[in-house]
Amino acid sequence: MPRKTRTTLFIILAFLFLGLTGCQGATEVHEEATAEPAEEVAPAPKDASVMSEETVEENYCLDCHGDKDRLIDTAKPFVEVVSENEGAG
Amino acid sequence: MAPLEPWEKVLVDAEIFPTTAHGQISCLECHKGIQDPDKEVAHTDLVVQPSEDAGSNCSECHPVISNMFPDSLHAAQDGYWTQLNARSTPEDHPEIEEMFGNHCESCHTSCGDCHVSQPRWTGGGFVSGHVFEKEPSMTKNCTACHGSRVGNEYLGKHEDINADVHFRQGRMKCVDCHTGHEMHGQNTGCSYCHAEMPESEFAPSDHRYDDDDLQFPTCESCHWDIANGESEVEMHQQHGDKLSCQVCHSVSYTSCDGCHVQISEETGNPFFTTEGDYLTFIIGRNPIQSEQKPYEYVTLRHIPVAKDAYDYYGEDLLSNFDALPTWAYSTPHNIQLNTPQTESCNACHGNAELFLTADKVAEEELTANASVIVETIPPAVGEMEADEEGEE
Repeated sequence: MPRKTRTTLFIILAFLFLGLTGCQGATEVHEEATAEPAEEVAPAPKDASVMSEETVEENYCLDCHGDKDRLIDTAKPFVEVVSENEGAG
Repeated sequence: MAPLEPWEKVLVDAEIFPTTAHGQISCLECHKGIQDPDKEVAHTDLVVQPSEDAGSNCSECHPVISNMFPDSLHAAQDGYWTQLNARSTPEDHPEIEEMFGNHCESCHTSCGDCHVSQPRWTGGGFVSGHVFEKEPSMTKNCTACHGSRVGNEYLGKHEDINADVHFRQGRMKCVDCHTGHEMHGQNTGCSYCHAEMPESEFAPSDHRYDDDDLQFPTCESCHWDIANGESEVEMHQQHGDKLSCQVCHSVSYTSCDGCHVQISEETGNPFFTTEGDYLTFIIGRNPIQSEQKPYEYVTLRHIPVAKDAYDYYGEDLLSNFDALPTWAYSTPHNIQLNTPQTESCNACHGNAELFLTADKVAEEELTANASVIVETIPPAVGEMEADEEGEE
């Protein structure tokens, strides 16, 4: 095989090799990206200014106001106010 | 509407509320108080109704509505003052303001009264476990206050009187016509929301039939073909601009007499008494005729005002009592396609029973109602034709 032909063939093979390995790398990166979508779609961190204290501390408000039995136990005695209105309002 | 149990009024839906947008905000940020397991300590400086200060608590996320809502009829109650000012003189306003604070101000409405809780006037309590509802409940919010007249008419609670066709067949709720824009006072002009629009020239509404702004809703907002004269119904063409829609399409509705207010000597609580309420259907002259309400005849409702209504607070506080009719422009919410009036021409023509004639008005209210009393009943159709032939 003439030297010029060998050189040309070498250059073609080299480009082919580089091209294939380059594509392979890109595919792997793409697969990695789609394999872990959770990172891409995970909710953004909440704004600190509106972040609930309850997420980091005990929420005594909700503990009580979300518990029917506790509310019944702690409710002030019901005082019935008899309306003195007469007739349609 | 049955009142809620005390615990029921303040029971938060602990599963759903924390997942909502408002559930992301600390309880203390709106309600103040202290994070503490002891109830009394936790409730130190508690703010029960945070939206009373919407400018501080709601405006960060809802700036446009928070800015204009204080001028809305539900918040400012300007409709009351329009009537009170017209019937009184400034010298009597201190006493009237005291009366207003004791008896009328309880109808003032905050954001939370529509979007979180039942109105305080009705005993309060969360509608949906403190979950903020974008659309108020028709029965737990709207008719909880507007019940004795509008609610009973619209929902068909009067015996033998059908519910309004918009509810009965259309299943329409209050907010389908009375939109958030109206409720929030956004009638006052486009520029409130759309900065690119010219500055609004409209002042906030000062009563619910105010024509000076973009007052909605009207029947014609949906039934525009009738307003445009394009209806194929002959009666619409004949009467379209002379009669309000309710003259033909409404049935009996509630009128009230003589509301008097005072403070109970026994309990110290304010209370009212009304002399009576009864069903009426009365057609009279239009007291607020305008370009938007050109009708010559409208339905009138007797409102419970009386010359001595506020005598507990001072003598003759309504010294201009005759400035406004006691038979007031009314839009009964019990619309029907077919009514006794639509049965024939002479169901109304020549039928004095339907019209507000002087003999139906209390003697002491004759002057006040001079503008709405019908002097001459529209003649029966047969007579009308005979008269026309006679003239020819």
